[in-house]
Amino acid sequence: MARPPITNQIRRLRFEHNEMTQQELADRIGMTRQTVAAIEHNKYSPSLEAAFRIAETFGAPIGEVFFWKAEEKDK
Amino acid sequence: MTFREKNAWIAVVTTLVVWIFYFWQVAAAALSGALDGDRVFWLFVWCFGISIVIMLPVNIVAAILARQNMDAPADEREREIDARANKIGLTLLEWLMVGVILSSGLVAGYARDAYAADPAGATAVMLINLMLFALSFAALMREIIQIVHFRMMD
Repeated sequence: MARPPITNQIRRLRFEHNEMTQQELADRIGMTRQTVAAIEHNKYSPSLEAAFRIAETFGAPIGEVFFWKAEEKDK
Repeated sequence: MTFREKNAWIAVVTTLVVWIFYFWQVAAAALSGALDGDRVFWLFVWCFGISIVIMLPVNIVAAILARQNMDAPADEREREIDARANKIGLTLLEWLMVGVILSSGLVAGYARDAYAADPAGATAVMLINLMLFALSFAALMREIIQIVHFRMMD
């Protein structure tokens, strides 16, 4: 399965929010810890709603959490 | 491992253990000319009951260990995995059913030779069990596909 051309800063943002665990983030956005791990490791692209929920949890604009990298993938 | 993945593993192991035994027994009886509709029916009822008796408590224990409710709603990744597995499972089931229909002539011919006393009854029992096999196999593949997706996206 090809990885989606999206990367993210969730690991860094969790670190900056008192080392928030994946489980804590998962509980806040109503997902399983495994889904948060899959998003964080770029194995699963979240829906737009989930992406906004994650950004809202960190109090950051969505563009600071997720990045489109289609050009990199094409290289 | 999420509760849903554990659920899929439990379904796969139970299906392999219980239903391989069931189909082995039915196939052996059918091929030896000793197929008995009543016996097959009760064997099915027992295997179905045993499947439920195994799966229900094991799923409850898995849910307790995962600290999740058995009826907790799936999140979007789990729903996506479920949808993909269902799509492939349904396509497989459609092809297997076509295969069962195409094999009905062969089954009826075999029943005429091996079960001269009641070829129609033997044909019905064999075709129903072929359909049951198609259903079980498609369900097994669906669960395996779910597990593969859970592993790939973990």
